[in-house]
Amino acid sequence: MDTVLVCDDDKEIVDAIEIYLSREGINVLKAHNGKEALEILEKEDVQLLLVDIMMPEMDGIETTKKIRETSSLPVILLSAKSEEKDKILGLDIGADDYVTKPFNAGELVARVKSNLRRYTSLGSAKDENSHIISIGGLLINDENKQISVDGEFVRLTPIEYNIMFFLARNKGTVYSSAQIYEHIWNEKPLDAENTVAVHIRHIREKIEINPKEPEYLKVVWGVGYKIEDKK
Amino acid sequence: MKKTIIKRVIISVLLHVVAAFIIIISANLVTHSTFTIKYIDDSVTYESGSLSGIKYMDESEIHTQIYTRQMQDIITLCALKNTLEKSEPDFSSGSVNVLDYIYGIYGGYGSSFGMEPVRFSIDNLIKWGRKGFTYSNIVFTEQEFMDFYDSAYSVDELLIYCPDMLSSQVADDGERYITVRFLDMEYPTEDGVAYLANYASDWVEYSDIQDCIVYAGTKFSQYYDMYRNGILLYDNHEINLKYVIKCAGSVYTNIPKNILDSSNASDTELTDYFSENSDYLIYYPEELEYSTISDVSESELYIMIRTYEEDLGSPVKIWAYVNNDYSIEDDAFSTAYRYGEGKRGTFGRNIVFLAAFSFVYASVMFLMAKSAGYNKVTGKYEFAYDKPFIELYLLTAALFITGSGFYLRKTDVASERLFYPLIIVFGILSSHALQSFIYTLVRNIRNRKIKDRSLIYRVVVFFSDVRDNVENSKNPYVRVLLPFNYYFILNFVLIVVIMLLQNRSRYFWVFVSIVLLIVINVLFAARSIKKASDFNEIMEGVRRIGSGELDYKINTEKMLDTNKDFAEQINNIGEGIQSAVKTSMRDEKMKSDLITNVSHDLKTPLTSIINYVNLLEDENITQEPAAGYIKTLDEKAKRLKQLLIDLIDASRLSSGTTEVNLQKIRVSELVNQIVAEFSDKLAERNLSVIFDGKSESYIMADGRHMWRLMDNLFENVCKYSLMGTRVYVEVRDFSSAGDGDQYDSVKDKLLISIKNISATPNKMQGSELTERFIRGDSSRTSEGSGLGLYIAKSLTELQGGTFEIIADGDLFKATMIFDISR
Repeated sequence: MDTVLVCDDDKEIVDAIEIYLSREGINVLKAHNGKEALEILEKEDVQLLLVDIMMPEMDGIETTKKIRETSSLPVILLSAKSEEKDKILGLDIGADDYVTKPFNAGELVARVKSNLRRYTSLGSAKDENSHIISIGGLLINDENKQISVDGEFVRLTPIEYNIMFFLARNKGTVYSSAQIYEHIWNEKPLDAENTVAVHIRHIREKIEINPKEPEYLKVVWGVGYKIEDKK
Repeated sequence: MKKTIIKRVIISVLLHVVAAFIIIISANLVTHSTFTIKYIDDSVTYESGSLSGIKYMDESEIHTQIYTRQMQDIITLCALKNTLEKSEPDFSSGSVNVLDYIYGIYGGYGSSFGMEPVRFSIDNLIKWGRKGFTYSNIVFTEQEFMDFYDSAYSVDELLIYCPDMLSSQVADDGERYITVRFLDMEYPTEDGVAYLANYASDWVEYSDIQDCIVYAGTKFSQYYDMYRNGILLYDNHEINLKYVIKCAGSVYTNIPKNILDSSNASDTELTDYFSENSDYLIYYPEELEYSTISDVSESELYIMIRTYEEDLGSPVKIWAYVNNDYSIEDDAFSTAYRYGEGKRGTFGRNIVFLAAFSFVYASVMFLMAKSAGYNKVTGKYEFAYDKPFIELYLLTAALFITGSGFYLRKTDVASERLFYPLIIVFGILSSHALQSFIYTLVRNIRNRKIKDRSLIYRVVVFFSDVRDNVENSKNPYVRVLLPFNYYFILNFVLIVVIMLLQNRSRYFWVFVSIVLLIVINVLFAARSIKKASDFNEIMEGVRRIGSGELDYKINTEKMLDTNKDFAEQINNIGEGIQSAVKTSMRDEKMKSDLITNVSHDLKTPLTSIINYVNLLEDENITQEPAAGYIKTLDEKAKRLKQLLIDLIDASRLSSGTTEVNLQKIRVSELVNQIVAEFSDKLAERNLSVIFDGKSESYIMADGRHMWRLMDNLFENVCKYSLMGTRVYVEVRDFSSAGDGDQYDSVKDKLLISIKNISATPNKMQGSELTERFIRGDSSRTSEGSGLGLYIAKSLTELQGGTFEIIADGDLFKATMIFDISR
């Protein structure tokens, strides 16, 4: 049973998160500022920390920095600040994920579970099989044409799988709809560019926690699509 | 107080005494610096300075010069005596035949032979010569003229022989008249004849007689003056130069008979006598014998002997020497000797005294000036006589000092009886004037009133005030016309002055005036040019400030005063605008920050609301009306969330803090991506998108911003379109638009338009829709913040595009225009 420490100065938010996580069978510990969180972490066995940035006493950034001095515990930052630079700052100091307020409960739960899985079950279980492409929590096994995200298998149509495999094999490179179409269908795109865009939206909905802010299959607006290369 | 004043007065008196000493010494220096020796026909001023340092007077240049000049004078005097005293020592009773005299001088060509002597008394000739000769013209007819003398000459020959006396005219009737110029007979001849014509036998002889009289009269009157001078200089008192001159039987000497009987002494005896003396000179011109131990040159003496050859006759023999102890006083040599001695003796001493006295004078003056006018009671430096302009004091002092200088420079004042008293008075007055000036100056400087008390300063200030008043006058006629008139009048006056001076041949002043004219015009031109160039700079400044360069400053340092004021005002306007812009930008930033912060603070409670509404929903409450309430809560919470996001975006956009990263974007790809994103929502409302995705055009844009703005537009399309209608997306490339085309204004642009049919009637103008907080439907009940279109417009403009909304009936059209990228 996983234990998640939820830390926010707003008690109601912490309570709501507890309800949602408990339903998923996750044990929840509660703290209302960074200091409390650090104290609990010392005593309890915690698998993930969900921490608000703006808090009294010690804020989320400071807390994360402290934790990163000794531990690789997954940390998800919660913040009302939705600007790009705030997210970048949060990830830079060592947080694993960043969720902006007001958040969607389902999304938050999905992210918590995804991070837990990555931390607990996957860990170092990286298979050096040439048929397997692994990007972060994304795992593509070309032998049985199966894709899993954070250990969960995702059901994709053959076309969708081919697009994923093509982009994952050339991770980091941006391909336009036309290029993708040519590769997958092996014919000139003509009026069919729209088809690729729709397929990709469907894939995103299946593999991404929040399709509007994709983690793996990214939209480069007006240029094309790519799968981001992750360490 | 009293004591101080008495002390100061005493010191002042002593100071003036010192001044008197200074001026006396100066006078001594000046008057002893030159001396003047008189000779028969002029006087020569010698610098006594050239005598200083010479041990023996007779070795000096001045000695030789005096010796030579005096010898020349004595030769002249002897010649004159020989002529004028020919018959008797008192020549006034003597007489002379002018014909013989003149022809004798000019080596008579004999025409006087056979002519009757024309004798005048020497006395009368001298008087006549001094008075001047006058003539009367008498006109003869040719016949009368020829009948006058029984002559062998024809009229024409006579006109040639006697051009000065005769002239002829031909009258209108062809008759020839001869005009004869007759000498007016002021004095009769010795024979008592007053009619000269009687002495002549023809016109030529008559002409000769007239010429001889005029020549003799002129010569004798000249001789007479020189003779008188010579007697005065050399015969009336003893001189240090001793001489014996023998000529044509006469012997002239200034050595008394009891010492040397020169008339009866033989040449050898004379030579013996003279050669005993140190500075002797013995000269027999005819025999080319010249012996002397002086530096007198033979040629200088020979010139004189040649000049008076006729008067001296021959042979001429000259003996001379100079008394080398200069025992005879008041002659040229003793004067020169005295000055030379004076130079040696007192010059250096006088200089030392002068320096010492001047130092004392200056030091005392300095000390006195330091405390001049000090009032122990008030502690101020004041004096009643400080009121007048200090220039007045300066002028007075300058007048006295230069006056004294001029008086000293007059060379012969030293001999005046009143010289020293006068010079002392001058010295004291000068000293007092100088003292007054210095004290006043010092006091005025101390009191910082020097500017008020200076006439020059006041005049300059007055004129610059006038100039400022004219230049700054509110009245344009005064400001422009008055200086122009002054300039014009000044030019006119100067030109008139130049013409007047030219007429009076004052060429130096003509030159000065022309230079002045040129200078004035050049200055005026320079000022005008400067004014114009200043104006150009001001214009440039106005242009730059006008074009938004608000921190631009016109450099006013070197500008004319009036322009400077103008330019500074413009700089102030620039500053004013700049600070206004800064304030408004700061206000906008503050507003944006406030909105962002408040929005963040609102997000936290909103998070709870959304989550607890979700929890409620999860309870699966189906009981009405609770289920309906929960649905409403959910909708409004979501709307609030969207509002907050839009609010933050809009405020960030309006404060200009949004970053833009432009990159090449393929428009059809973008549209396809967007349409794909919205495919579900569009399907929900049964909307079909008509898009010809073949466009290969690219634009420079920020992909994320493009997504955001397209997202907004499609959000609207989905929300407000009539169910089951078509949505047209068009991409038009105007890169090939020709000149003069109807699309000229959009040449090289790309146009993206989205058209849909509104579900409810549009009640607003297209432009109003893009303003903040305004939505297409006025009921404000449906989803959306009303900021969507505003954000879309701002984002388009941020990327260099233009955004336009057209609401035409139910047709709703959004158009974006971007620059094409190749």
